[in-house]
Amino acid sequence: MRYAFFKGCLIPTKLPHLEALARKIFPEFGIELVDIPEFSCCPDPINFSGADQLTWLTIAARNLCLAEEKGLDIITLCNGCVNTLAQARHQLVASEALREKVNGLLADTPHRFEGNIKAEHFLKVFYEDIGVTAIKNKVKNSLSHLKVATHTGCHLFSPHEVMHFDNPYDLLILDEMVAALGAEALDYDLKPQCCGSSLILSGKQQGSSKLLEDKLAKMKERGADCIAVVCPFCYQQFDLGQLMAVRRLKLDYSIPVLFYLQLLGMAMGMSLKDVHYDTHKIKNASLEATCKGT
Amino acid sequence: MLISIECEARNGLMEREPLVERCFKCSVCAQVCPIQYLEEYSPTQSYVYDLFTCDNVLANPNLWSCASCHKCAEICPQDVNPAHVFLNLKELSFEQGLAPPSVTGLIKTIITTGSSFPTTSVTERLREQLGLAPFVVNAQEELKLIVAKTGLEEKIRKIGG
Repeated sequence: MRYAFFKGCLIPTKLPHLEALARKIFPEFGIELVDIPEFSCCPDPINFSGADQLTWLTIAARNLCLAEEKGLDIITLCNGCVNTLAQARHQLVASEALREKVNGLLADTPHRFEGNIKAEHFLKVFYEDIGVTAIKNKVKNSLSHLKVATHTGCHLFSPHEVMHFDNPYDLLILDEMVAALGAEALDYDLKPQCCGSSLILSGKQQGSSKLLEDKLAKMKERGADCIAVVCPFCYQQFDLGQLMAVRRLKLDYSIPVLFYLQLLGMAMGMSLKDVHYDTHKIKNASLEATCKGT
Repeated sequence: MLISIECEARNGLMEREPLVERCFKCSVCAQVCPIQYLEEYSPTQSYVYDLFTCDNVLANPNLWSCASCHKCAEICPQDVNPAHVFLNLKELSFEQGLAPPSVTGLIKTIITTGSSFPTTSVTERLREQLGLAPFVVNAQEELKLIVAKTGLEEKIRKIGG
């Protein structure tokens, strides 16, 4: 399977260890990544899409065209990127008038949107195309000692009529993917609640911390050793955001967050150090002790 | 009187977004909305209803906190789609120069560098340590052509950004 690798903005600039993990792990599952340096920001589905919908759509269309010209589907590591690219594709495929309008706006560039390729999140590719059985077959060190609170992240599954992934009311796919690694996926209250990243991005730090306080309380109540995420914004919110919430509200939480690829890497035989746990803000001695020797 | 202000603002909003008419303040969205964690909101005063009724919604800085998470749209018993309404309102807010400077800044960063987070020396060092090639974005020239054609460039100039 060859994919155009849509790295996004946050991962390559601030969390490159997640990109490094993808480059290491994906080939083990037969995924070949093709870099396209002409890709730009998706652009983001919260602020840019609000400020100017037509420009947002045209820039997203340009990104889709770049992969289409190489005959490749896109794979992303970010819920925001896949949300923008899937929404843009959905709108453009649904309306010929809109497609013509956007192609008109692209006329000064060498691109023309046809709509022949898709943009997918890596979790969807792993779940639907590679499959849980193939993942189980790669497990060398079962993570059976870990209780994991999963947080799928809103933009991967909403709006449902565009994303066609999981059930927004009852999220189970990431649980199944974590269970495939041997870990116990916990059911907890507030599971579908947003991570609050947009509160931080709009400068509402108190609100962001209050949200995390609630969500972390529910995770701790069920005895979570760590949080599993598949989006760099959720990742940063549960790591850096958790640290800020703990300081601001004088909380007693230290539940490390692990990107699904970090958990997968550990199950495939990598150590906490190999998956770059040392770069995390929120660490936990009991998690480290549990994972020692794995 | 608060009520008359609410009605006037709401009527104006309903002209643009007819769906808003259906909202009867049941506050179900308040149970799922992340912005509800701002201290000005409560179970009976929801973020969504605040934006539907406040005096000048385009200048309400909380408008730009909406995460477009679509939880409100999914749970609304009246099939109002607040997330979509707010997206349209953000566009008007931006056009009139009422978006927070951080939003205009982000848009400018994206269209001039091609990325939300431009590469810094820290980025370069981290990538090198991990054995990753430098992060390159070759999109600036084409983005410049696109924003000239869509009118975004002109819009930003008008609002003094």
